[in-house]
Amino acid sequence: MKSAIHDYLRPKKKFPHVWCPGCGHGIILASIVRAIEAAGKNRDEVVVVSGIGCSSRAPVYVDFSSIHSTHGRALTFATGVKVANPKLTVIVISGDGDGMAIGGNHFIHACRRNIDLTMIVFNNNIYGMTGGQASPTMPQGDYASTAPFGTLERPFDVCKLANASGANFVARGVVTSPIPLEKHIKKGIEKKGFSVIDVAETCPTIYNFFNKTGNPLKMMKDLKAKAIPVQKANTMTEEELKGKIVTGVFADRYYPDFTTSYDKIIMDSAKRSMKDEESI
Amino acid sequence: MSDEKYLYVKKNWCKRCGYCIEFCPKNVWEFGDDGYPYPARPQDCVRCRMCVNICPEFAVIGEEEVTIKLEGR
Ligand code: SF4
Ligand code: SF4
Repeated sequence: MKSAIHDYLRPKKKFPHVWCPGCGHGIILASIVRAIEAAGKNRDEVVVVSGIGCSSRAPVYVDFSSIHSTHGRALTFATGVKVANPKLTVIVISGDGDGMAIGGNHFIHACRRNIDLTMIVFNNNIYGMTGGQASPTMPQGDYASTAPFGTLERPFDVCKLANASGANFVARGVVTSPIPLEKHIKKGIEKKGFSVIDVAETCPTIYNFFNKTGNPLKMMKDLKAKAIPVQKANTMTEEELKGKIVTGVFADRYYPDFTTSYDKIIMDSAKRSMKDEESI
Repeated sequence: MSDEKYLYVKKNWCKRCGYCIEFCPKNVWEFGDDGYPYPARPQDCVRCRMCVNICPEFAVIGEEEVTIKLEGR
């Protein structure tokens, strides 16, 4: 019974990893590795880029080329890597704070640019590493260090945002179902253009501290109960969907991706200048 | 090929969250007296890999070769 992750752990890294007992990050990281393997990618042609936060520590544990970049800027570094060498498979790991707040602007523009990256959002609805601030995906009314009376703003729906901004592939998985999660990530890797996989998970330390959500196992069971497949969600009313997490594929399109369009401009202008030379 | 029913928990990586026990569809796992999970009913395992995939610590191992490779880590 194979478990791809064990073939990809960096030989000199110390385990267990730094994440808290019951944190979903390890489940997502293992799913990413299985997806990369299932997509048949050679590990030397994969680059994993992250920003800052608990989730952004993920690339340091696995044996791929990686960039642990600055807060919110994972997409900008990844864009540079991809444009410099479009043959590489570039995976972006970001948290909900890193990706949707500090890097929120980069996010919508990466969707609009439709550059061939696969972004995986480790979405636990809070800033864990930096002190329990409310993140842009925190459900309204939940508590955080910056929201002692409950957060006033409504949360971003990462998938709706990505879909409206033009990403080619948009899906949501949940850590309680690691196999569908792996399939969404694989599809994202195989898709030309920008892919976003939002992953609902739990933060049993910081989130629990502010919201008394219970021990890791209870939080996982509650998360599982909240997850509703999109097909079923389509038959439910807005009222019934309150507090639920809709999973599945939300967009799967074929708009030309950025580097292909860019190459085309170069080819076209090269042809034009050849013609000009012939006519002289 | 390794043993069809091989299941192992690497105790120095396990953080005792209990996910392997909860999410196994065949109720194979239990906490042992030492506080760590162990396969109490390995004969019921259907090799669905849920335990391996849901363990956040990469501590559930389904192949003897992997256990040997990770020895001492
Ligand atoms: S899922 Fe992993 S870390 Fe959690 S109790 Fe089982 S073996 Fe230990
Ligand atoms: S492989 Fe599936 S059935 Fe077997 S122990 Fe693991 S979770 Fe249970």
